Amino acid sequence: MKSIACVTATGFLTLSYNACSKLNGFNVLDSADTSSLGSSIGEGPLAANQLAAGKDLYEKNCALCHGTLAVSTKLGKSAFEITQAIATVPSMTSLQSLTSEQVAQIALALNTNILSLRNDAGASTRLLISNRYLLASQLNELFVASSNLDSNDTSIQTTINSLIMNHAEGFGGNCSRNDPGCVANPCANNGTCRGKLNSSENAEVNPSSSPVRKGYLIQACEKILTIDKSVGNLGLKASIDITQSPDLSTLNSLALFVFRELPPDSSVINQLLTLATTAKSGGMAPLDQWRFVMLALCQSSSMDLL
Amino acid sequence: MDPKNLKRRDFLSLMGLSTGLPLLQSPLQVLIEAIVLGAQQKAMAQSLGISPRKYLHILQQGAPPRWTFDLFLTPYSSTGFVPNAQLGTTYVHSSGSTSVAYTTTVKKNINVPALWQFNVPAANGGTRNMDPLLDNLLQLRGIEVGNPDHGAAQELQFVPLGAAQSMSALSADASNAPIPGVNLSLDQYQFKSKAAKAAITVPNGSNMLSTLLSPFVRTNSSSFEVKRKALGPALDASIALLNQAAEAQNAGAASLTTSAKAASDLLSKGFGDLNSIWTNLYNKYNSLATRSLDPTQSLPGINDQVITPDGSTLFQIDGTLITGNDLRGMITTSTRVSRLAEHFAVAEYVLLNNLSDSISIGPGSLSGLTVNNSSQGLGADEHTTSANVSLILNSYMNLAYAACLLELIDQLKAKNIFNETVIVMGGEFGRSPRKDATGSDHGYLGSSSSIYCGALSGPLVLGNIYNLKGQSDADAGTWGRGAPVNELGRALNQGDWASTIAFLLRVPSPTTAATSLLTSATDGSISSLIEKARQV
Repeated sequence: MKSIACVTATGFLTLSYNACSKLNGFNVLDSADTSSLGSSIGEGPLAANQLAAGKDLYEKNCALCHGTLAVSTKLGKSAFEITQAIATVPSMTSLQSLTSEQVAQIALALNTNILSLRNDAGASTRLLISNRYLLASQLNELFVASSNLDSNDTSIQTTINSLIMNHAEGFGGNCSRNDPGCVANPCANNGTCRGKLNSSENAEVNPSSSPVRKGYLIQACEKILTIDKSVGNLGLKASIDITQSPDLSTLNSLALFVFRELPPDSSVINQLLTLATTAKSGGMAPLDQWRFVMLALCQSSSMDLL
Repeated sequence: MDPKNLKRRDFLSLMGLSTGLPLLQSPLQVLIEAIVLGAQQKAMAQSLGISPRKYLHILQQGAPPRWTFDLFLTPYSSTGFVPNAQLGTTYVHSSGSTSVAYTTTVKKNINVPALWQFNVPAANGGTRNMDPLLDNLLQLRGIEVGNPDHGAAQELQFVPLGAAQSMSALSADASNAPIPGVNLSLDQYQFKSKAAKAAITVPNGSNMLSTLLSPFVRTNSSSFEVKRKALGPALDASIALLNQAAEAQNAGAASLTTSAKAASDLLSKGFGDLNSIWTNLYNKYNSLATRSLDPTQSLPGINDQVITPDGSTLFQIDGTLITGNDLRGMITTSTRVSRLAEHFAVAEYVLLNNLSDSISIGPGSLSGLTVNNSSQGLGADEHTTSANVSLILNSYMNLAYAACLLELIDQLKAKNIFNETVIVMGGEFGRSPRKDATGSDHGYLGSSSSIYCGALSGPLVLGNIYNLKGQSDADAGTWGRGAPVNELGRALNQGDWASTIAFLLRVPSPTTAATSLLTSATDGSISSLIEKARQV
């Protein structure tokens, strides 16, 4: 539903969202990997692959000490905690040969069971939503120029930082004591960790649906799209001429670009056209017509969903 | 492969970015975290039919002594009371020396500390008595807290006995209020939610309301706003259809739609001028507190006679020996109760405006005292604050707390929500007073908690204490050390406390270690399942 930016870390406190060439230097997955394998957690083919790998890795590397997966004493542990244990527990140092991706797969396996336990508490649906890292990178991917960033792009990035990245309490995502996303250690206060984090500890904050989250996202979308360049950037990426008023075809292209996996619904496209036409008949130029169409997409639930 | 045609999740595997910094995760780690932690459950209110009461937790970090105010040592009988030289509610002046004694007055047919005889300031400028606090008070005392350490004991206030759900999340999980939980910078605050909710921490500052409400306050340029509003209906219709499509893809997205509507409503409604709202609320509570600390008011038995220090540890504050002629000079017009006005201001606004059903605040102790000609505060953790000093300072401080509590409760009553609100006030443990009158230590075997709720008919004191048994050799006497209750065969513990609060909140208890001490009859009246408080 969303394209994901490459997030390049130049430092903990300042993430620079350099768009990178998505296929450089990576192994492209064989198309067979994208086939639907079914999924024990119901989320798409890739996750099922990762889960299977994680289960296998766990049984081979962890089960001897911690019990088989179904009854593991380490259910619920995060990738970060596993990495720390490997680094510090003497009997686990041989596992340092595991890659971070493999550790992440093990964590997935350890947490998938937890997920179903939580659902037993009375809920009926699972909702997968982005945490602040994912959401920030999504907004960056959509609205910040792919190259030759100017001061407008910097303003967009600043907005993303201040309204999304700095609000772990609204969007979730792990964080530390000195994280600007944690004001007075709220990360220490949420999720599963204990009271006070020391300087090397991490806390995990649940991404959750709340009016606080939506309030920040609604504002972030408005602040970003106030800046004309954001409209231009997204138009360029979606191969749309924003000097022309939206029509069914270009709206379709935009929706397809922004929400890749969701085939645009014709009623949605028609409504977006109505929105654009209303703007036009109100005397707004194509730039504004596109601006508010993009605003609708940005503020919709589809932007939150994984 | 054409990037445009790749499914989103394939991007994640393709990027495989790993920065090596634990906080900047690879896309897979990010995906895992979102999958693992993004589970969103329908509000328990919908699935379990629960309508919770509101929860206000007032935690006085550091655990100040409570015997001058809301720990009643001899409520129904004073038989067998054993004095302790550190523990007093009025001064005893004999030729050349000062000490303290535990004296009480009768209010609402029970024995309460002497402080309750005094009036406190009222918001209308006059004064009032403190009696109404008793009308809806349940006091639990003699509570054995597992841990003598401040931080760990404070954590237990939020997550007693390792419960899976924090006290702060009890109402929140069953609530539809826009902000799940609010924490006014309590160090050890925990918010363990069963519904994947998260709380907001508001740091102490100049306008805490603005900070709290920032998700819901637009700051767009006027030119943008003009256009946005002009397109309002068409924009809303577009978003509604998009949300429907999202729900078709993932039924759980309905909660996003609900959250968006709540946020949108608040963003549209606005809050008015938050600066003047804040100023008015702060000024109100600050005025109540300041007037409560007026050194010129008449408090017989407390400030009616000179209290002359003798240079010994019988006249120390946080280990500093006090010199000079009269302890009463410590309280000046600069004296304040830290964070009291600010935190009560936020609490009132949040509760009255239905912004959250769970708010935890941490007002503090005295600041701006004059000690040995310089300014200092009183630490709540009074290990080395002697009886003669503790009595006068805590008396003034508790008048301020009482005044603010009474005003807050008045506001809740005026809005007809005091019956739907549970206020829990206390420290992380009690205090065990030293027989040598030089200070008091962590009373983790005798904690107490005051619970106010409009649905309670008070005062009711539960929990037995020993007349003589100390926590150590230093502190024998009647100070609140927990003793067995008949029906339980043991002293109260935090499981009883948590389950009782959960009962009042109308939610399931977060712990199976104990059950509620209260029950309700078919007519809604609430009564105790255990004997009234005794000293043994």
